[in-house]
Amino acid sequence: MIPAPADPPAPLAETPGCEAPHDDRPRRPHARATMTLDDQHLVAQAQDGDRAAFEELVRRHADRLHAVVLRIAGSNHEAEEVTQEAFLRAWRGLHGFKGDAQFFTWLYRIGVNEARRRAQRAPAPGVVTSLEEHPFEPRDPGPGPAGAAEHHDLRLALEGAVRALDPEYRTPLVLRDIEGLSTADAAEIMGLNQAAFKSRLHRARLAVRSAVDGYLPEDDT
Amino acid sequence: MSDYLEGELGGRRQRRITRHAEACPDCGPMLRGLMRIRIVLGSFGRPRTQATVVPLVLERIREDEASTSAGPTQDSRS
Repeated sequence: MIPAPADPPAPLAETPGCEAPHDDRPRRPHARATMTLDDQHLVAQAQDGDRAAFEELVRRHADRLHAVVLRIAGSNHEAEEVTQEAFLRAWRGLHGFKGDAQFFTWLYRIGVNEARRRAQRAPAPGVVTSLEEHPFEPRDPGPGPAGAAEHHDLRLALEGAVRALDPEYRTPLVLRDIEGLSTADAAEIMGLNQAAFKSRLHRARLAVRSAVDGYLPEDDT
Repeated sequence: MSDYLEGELGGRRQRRITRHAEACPDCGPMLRGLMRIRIVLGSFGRPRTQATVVPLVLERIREDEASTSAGPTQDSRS
């Protein structure tokens, strides 16, 4: 039987720098709206030269941005550099931020574009093993003992399949399916219209599906 | 298929594709596999061994500010 399509992964948490990785409670759009209002207030203060307000924005967004760019750039060293650079450019360019976009999409766009640029010039995917050196902690404990091994194998295979994608296809998958951003936010971060973003995302999903075909239950293949 | 996975088709079209996929030997496994993958991707989470990068970022900004003795500039990027 075909189940109803799953809810998308949890969206960006209210305070990304403070979230609990295992917190898989459903998060709804109103939480994002609350965060955005607070961000706007902090941005306004920071634009007036209040560095403490900007530092609060760093505390809210730095670790989540780092996790995103780590998945795109592949190397933890690169990801740290990209995260620092993104915030530095945001701080320097804050007066140019007109508020047309949400702060986090503007910030992520800076960081993600830099991560994509670095990933394009990086060694071939699969050679970089930083994600294995820094294994990611699952947000949920998995399907229980019976399916745990199968889930683990599929997860490892997916990690490799995502890493092997070209950064232009890896990025939409990271933003939408791993980070759980909305299609609109993820497309804006990548500088694509939604149709183009969806097309790229779908091709990425088909590519990883093909790559992990042998790890899927028989009913799914 | 992409819009179906996102649940964006609306009730009737969504149900119609569900019915088709349940009977179709090609579409059914494809959709089930994509759904399963999406669920697993959503469970990936954050680096286990990774310390917070907040201090690094704050230090970088403070260093930059100390070297320039200025707050946000008029550099436009939005």
